Amino acid sequence: MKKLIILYIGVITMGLVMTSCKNKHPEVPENAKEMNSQPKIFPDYTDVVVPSNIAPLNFKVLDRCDEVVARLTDGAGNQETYGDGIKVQIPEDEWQSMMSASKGKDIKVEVFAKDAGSWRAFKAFTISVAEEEIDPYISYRLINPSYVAYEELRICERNLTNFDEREIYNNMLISTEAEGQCINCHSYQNYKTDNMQFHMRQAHGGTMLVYKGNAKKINLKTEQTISAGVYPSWHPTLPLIAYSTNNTGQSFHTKDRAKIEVQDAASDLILYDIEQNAVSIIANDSTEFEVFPWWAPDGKTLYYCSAHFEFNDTAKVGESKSVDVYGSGGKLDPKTQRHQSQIIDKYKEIRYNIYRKAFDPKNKTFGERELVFNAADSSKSATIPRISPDGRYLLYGLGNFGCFHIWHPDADLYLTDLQTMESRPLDEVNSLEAESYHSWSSNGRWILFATRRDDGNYSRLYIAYFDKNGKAHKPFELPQEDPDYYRYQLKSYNVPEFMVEPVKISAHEFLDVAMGEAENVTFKETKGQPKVEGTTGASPKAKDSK
Amino acid sequence: MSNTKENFRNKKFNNQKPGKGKAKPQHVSRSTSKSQQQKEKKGFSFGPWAVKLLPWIYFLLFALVAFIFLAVLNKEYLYGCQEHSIWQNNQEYFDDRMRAVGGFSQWLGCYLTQYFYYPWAGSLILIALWGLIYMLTLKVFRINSRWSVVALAPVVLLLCSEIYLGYWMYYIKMPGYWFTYTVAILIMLIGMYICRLYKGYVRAALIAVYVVGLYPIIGFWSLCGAGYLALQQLTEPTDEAGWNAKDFSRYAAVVVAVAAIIIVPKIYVQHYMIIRPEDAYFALFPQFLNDKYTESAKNMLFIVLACIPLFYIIPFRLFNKVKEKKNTVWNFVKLPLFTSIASVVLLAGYFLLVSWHNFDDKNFQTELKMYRQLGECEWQDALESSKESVGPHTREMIMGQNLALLHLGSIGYNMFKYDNRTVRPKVYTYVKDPEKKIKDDEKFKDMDPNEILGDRERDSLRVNLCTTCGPLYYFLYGKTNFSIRWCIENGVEYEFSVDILKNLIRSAMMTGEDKVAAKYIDILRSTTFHKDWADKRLAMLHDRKLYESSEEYKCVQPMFNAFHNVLDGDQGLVEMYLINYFSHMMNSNPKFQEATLAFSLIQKDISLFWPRFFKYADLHEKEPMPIHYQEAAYLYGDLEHKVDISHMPFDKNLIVNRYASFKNVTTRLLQQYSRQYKDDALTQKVGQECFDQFGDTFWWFYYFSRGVHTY
Repeated sequence: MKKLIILYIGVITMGLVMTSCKNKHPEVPENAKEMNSQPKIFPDYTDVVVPSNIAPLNFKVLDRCDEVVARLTDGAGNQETYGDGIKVQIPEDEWQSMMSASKGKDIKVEVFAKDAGSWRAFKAFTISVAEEEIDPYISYRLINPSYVAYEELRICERNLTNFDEREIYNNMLISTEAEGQCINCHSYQNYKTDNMQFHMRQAHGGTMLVYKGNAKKINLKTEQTISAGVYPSWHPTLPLIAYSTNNTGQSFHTKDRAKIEVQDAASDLILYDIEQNAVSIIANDSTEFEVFPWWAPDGKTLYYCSAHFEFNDTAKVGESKSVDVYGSGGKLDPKTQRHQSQIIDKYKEIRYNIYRKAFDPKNKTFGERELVFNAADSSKSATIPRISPDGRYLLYGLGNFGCFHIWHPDADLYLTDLQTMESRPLDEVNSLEAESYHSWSSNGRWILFATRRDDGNYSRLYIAYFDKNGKAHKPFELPQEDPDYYRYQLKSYNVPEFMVEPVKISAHEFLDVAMGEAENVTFKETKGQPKVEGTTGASPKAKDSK
Repeated sequence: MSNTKENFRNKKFNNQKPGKGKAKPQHVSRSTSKSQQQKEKKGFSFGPWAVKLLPWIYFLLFALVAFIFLAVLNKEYLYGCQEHSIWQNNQEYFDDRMRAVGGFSQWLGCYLTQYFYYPWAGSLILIALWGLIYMLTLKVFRINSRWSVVALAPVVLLLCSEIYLGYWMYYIKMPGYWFTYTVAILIMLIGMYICRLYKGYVRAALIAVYVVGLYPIIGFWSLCGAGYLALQQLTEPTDEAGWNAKDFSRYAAVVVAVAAIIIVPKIYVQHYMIIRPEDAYFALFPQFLNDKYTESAKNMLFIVLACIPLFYIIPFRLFNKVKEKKNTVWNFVKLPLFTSIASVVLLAGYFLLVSWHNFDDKNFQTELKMYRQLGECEWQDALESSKESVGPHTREMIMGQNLALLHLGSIGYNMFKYDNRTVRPKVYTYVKDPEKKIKDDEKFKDMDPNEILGDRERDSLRVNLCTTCGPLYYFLYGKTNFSIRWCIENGVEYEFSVDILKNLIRSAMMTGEDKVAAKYIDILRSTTFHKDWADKRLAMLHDRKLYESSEEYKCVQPMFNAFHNVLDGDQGLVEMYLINYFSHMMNSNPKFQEATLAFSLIQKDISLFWPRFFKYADLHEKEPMPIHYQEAAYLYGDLEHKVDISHMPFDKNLIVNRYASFKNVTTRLLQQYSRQYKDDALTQKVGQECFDQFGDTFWWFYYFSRGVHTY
């Protein structure tokens, strides 16, 4: 028996050795028939601009074929071939040397495909390597494109220079069958991770706040605010975070491709002062839904979105309307029920504009609101304003209505030049499907955004080069080691954010903090602000899918 | 093993020093002396060949019974299990499985579960694996052939665990459940067998390797294996001389095993993200719970399974001591007659245990069969299947009947011809006082405490149509978005499965979302047995005309096209939503319109009925009015006199005369039973009495189908 075991181990070892010895650099086929079209490849990396520190752009050929050889010629004229079946996967070290030689130049890619015994040579395409590098890390949440139920949620960190993915936090570390935990809205101060935060809802709920490298859990809900903090924005230099507070619900389309409508029946803006552990009101007009705060890079202006909506408090609750409000447990007070019903009835009429308020860092006070982009007048709705690091461009999502564009196929990215105040759709990157959450890299040369262009249902991350002239270039999909990865992946990517360094706290360290009690914040009244009455008190803690 | 060979081994063994030799330690009961055997031969005894054959005979018996229980009695269930599981031949799927402790067992379990596509094939594989487990149990725990019947216990329990799930098959969160634990236990035993090939300090080192190497693969079961090995070290004699207290290597092995059991899981879980640290010791131990339901009684089987080896191990030491004292009890248990009787009793016990655990609910099996047939648009077959289950049906079956009839165009003629009496899905457990449990638990306060099903009492599991049939039924009614919604909800909660992917593909193709349909087809193509189904869909995706010529498209498309988008929600009640939705709709599409009329009958709402009845008459001019619509019109006309039915051409025999007869019979029965029964009980009694005569009419449904619970 012992001999048999040794023999068994020997056979496996031999097999492994033989597998690893296969040819990584196939020969370029001779006498291939020239084609006058480029190959169809997935992900589509034809004629894209990429940073020199990006991971290998592995792809597979979609044209009918059994075998593929790709010859890559770098900026210095060095050539190498790759191909394994119909996939082209490039070793990281070889790719990196090619990229180093091609900075500011092009890599030429010639693809040869064998079908029914004969080879074809497709028209070559290029991969342009930009001078500017990209931030080495991004983070995102992986989630099924879910409705009400959720199970595993992961906030992940991806090293863009290779294929390493690490989990910053996973709700399964704490979730039990009886009590789940929803995690969302990770965010960082100035692309660094010593100051960061993410939310946890339901079991052991609270906001995980990392300040000066130390993690603690806080409870941002106060009696005076309608919910705990939701969409965050770190002040670029001060220990301040602007949040929206939201009373969010969702209902379902019976036929529309959008499938889900997520709406706020109330939303305000608050400011959390980390050192004072206190929140104060930024904006809470009862006829406005203020949401998506975002600081300008100089920290002197806060941008946000707001929709005007007036409830009819004498209206009857709409018939046969069903809404699932986060945290309501299905039991809503009559007022909230009435509001939700009206929101559902008029969901196509709720449109958000982009506003800004001047901020005085010394006194921590805000000025009057100022309209930046009037979307409603064009029957459009703007969301998620993001200012480029040089302060010149405003990037935002624009759809026909509402604030949750991830479910709106009509939603596109738009750009406003804050110097000229000219706005335009970012056609270079937009698709027929929803473009939703977007971020600028720290050098302002790369835009990372979530889009459903692959299949209309699952959000994927794309990166576009944004040049000095304010022009974006054809985006490329976040590279994966296996080109088939996205075909089989049933999770969506959302809230993609750039980081210049990895998160230094491990998931299990976060877990220890999450298991502890949350520190309550206090409410600080702001001069000139009316007192706010907490409406439902419902925090968005239920099985939401934001 | 023949006596000669055994004695030869013993001789060889005796020449070696304890703890260092290569020979295996022999259990005392195997080293029976010649004189003892001669004694046995005088009375009732097994011959050496018979003894050698006994394990095979037992296993063949078991295999036969197992095959009957699996492939014959639970054919539909096993097919359903593989539909509610998935295995994909791609790296992404493998990596995803490996993220959990025990992921490899689950990956292998999911792979093998696929073979239930052919229930007989999956059953044979399962039985073959159990054969290996049985053989290894005999070897690892040194069970004498004479007593080999006891080694069947683990596989008997595994068989029970296959067939006792019932509706839990929809709710368990254990990927590849049907094979995962068989695989895990098999790996555990193989590891133990290898460890036992070595002795002394080598074995101690191997035990450490065993836990470190196998914990990520089989989780809890590796800890069990190490525990059994440690116990064996403490209880087994190291040589023929018996217990050797001075052999320190045995203590070293025990210390290593205990340390590994304590430390290894704690270290490993730091690298796993989908397990709570406090659950580290029970990774891959099955738990019957989800966010709504729990059934700890079902875990009991696995607790017993984990404890059984203790009974194999501990007697070694015990019997050894007894033998030393020459206790008569020890001699008695060796008697062949006793062994035979005990074996027969045990075999009978096994059979009873398996029978008792078998979820033998006919409605459950029929639901699964109908579901499969409806998915393939085999309407007539689904109706035939429905008839096979005699007695009250579940709501899923009744909804399935109506769906089939609607698509066959005969709902107005036949919807009450099938048994419309309702029974809840059969769920049960071993809870002693379900009423108390229900009352105590807020979650179950709306349960009907009077409904105790059979001789077993219900558990906390509540079957929800959203999970069982909702996505398919929504699709077949053209409500694609709701179908997609419940596919995703179920996929998120209970993992994506073949069934979910099929429904997602159906809906995506109907709505024209070809890209995402292609994605789901791609995933399905990476399975072993659903490639053909996926390839057919792929062909349809590339050739719209081919799709439009399919039965599915022809049946569902008219329903899908007939309504407009609104924001809505079903609150998790599929049937209630469909009844409310259709009975309140009006439409010019004949098929859709017929659904509105049929659902208005189910709604028993007279004001909803008449407009839909007249609309039906307009849309089906010069066609005969289906019998159930006539029944409803005649009844409502008679009840309210608001609509003049005198000019309507009702069928004289089937409607006019029969209705008169119905009224006479029910009036007579009411008078007859009014003294014995009151209120609802009286209605129920009269309904029962006249069911055979009028159970196929709307009238019976209208008056006697009461208190129907949808779920």
